[in-house]
Amino acid sequence: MEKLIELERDKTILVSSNIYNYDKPDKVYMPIDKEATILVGSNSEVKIGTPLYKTKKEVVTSPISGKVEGILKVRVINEERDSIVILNDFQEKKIIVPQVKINLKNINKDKLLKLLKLQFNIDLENKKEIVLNAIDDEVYVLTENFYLFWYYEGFLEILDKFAKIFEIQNITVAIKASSSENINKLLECLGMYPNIKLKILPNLYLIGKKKFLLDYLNLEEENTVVIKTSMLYDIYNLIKRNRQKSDKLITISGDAIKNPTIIKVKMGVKLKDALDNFLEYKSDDVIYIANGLMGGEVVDINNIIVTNNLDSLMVMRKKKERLEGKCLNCGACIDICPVGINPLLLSNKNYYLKVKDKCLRCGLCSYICPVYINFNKYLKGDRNE
Amino acid sequence: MNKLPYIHNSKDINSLIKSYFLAIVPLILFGIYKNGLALYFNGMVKFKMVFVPIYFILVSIIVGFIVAKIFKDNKEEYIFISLISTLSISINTNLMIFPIVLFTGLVVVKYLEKMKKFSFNKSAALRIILILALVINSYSYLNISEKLDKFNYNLFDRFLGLEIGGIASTSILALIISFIILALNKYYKKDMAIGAIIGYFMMALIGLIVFKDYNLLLNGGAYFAFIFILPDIYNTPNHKKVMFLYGIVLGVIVYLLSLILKFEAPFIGILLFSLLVPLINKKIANKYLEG
Repeated sequence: MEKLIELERDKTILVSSNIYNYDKPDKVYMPIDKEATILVGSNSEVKIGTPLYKTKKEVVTSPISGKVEGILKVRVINEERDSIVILNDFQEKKIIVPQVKINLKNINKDKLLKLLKLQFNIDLENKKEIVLNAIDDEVYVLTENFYLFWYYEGFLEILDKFAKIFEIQNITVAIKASSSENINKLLECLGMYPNIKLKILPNLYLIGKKKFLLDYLNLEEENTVVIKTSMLYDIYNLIKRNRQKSDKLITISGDAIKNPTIIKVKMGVKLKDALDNFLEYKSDDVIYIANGLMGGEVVDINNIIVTNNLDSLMVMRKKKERLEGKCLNCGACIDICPVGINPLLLSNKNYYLKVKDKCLRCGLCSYICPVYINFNKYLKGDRNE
Repeated sequence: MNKLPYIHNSKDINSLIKSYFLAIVPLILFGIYKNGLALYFNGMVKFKMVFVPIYFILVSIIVGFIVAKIFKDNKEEYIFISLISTLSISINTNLMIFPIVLFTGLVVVKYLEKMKKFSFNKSAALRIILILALVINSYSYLNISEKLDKFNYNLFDRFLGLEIGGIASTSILALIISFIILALNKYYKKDMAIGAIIGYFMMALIGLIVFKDYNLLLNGGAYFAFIFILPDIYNTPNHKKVMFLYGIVLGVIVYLLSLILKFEAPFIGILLFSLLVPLINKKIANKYLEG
């Protein structure tokens, strides 16, 4: 835990607590996973919740009702993928798949257990603790935080129900000390749920990562289930509202825009279409970064599609590129790495292969380097520099 | 190429160089007092001699700047190397020869660095070369007051810096202030300095018990070298624990060398040890590669 640090931030970049809702796109693009079995054909009619394709892990459903136009190649963050294109009929027709017919009043433990395992990879059997993780590690990103802000009543109700059904002793809601609005809201209503505790965590980068979170809370991994608020939102929608995953929250922030905000968008939407409706720019020369300034990726805004793994988009003024200096051998990068990797050796192919799965891609080594060495290039496979 | 992270810690190499320059100030001020003003006020030298320490400092800055310009290299780095190598030279260094030796020394150091055959501590190497400008007069670190031996300094006076040594490297009090300034910068390799100070101090304590002499315990020049010269900007081990161990071993060796050559021992020790740095870093890398 001593290795985690608080990142320096520009305190003028704030995120508004208003949600901008973009739920009526003309089209959605649903990227298809490799080795997926496609379940719909061209021109077939779909409703919200109609299965589009399935893989060994999941069944992906349509977020809108309308007509399948066909399959098109689109870029998802920085990867080109085949996607099912659906034309919206704006009728919001829904289907209710049989396994979703669960309600909290009359619940079957085994059925719920199976559903959570199958759909969300959550196993609550023989667990003692649940941790609701409402922590966004990346600076200026508040997506997880706002899931809690908007849906805390439903979340607490569903967690309390889980505790009773699965005989779980403790439930902890983990939030950062900077989330004062959430702290106030939860303190007001936690009296109704004596088994749910609020844990306020310091504003340390990466404290929301499961390993560090459990370390901080002093909990054992085998007895604890950590659920992100974004995932609990999907569980809540499925169990309480009989709705398959069709939308999500995304933080839009950065120093190049006037109105940083949280947007609620349908899955598969071209993000640019949503942004064009409300975003006001401070600068013309901008750079778009998906999933945070530390560990994210620079993206082309014209191509980016809303998928499960997109949590935020930072719109930043373009900075003059800093030249990398000669390594000082100061050891700051080795010292700061939260998983004990030596970033100075990432240019060595053997070492890279050895640690690539251990590396969190958190960007701390480059953040701390006094001569601006971009270690990220080695993680991208560039070994000639 | 992906240029993330897009944000960076507010401190960088420039902040380190600034910290070094700031940390030098107390030493320079004391050096001007001890080897200039104090001698003048005690009627031992003429007023123009007050400017001798200032002369050495200004010459070192100008020569560092010129060499950096010639080689189109980092000006701050060269001025810094030139300046810290000068702060520990003797007040008896030949005024006319000094700029020539300093310029030649910097060029030689730069040339050796360019050859890339071996890596070494440039400041320590330059400091050893600067002895040439001293031996041309007479090898002595005594200023006029010390030569006359008119004052009976107590332990506290010697702690303040009224001790035989370089022009601006004798004050342990000023060195403590300098070290605090430097240690506040996260890129300063304080583990090395602390290790070396501990190693040297422990040996000096043993020496005090054995020889009943605290000259080496209060040798400001050694502590100056550990704080400013040893944590070279580039040539050091790259792992903090190894830096500390390296410092301790070096501190012990420097003490042993100091029994023979009190004023030059720290620089000789640092230079010789710095030749081992690439090997040490290779060992550290192998440990990560194997483990």
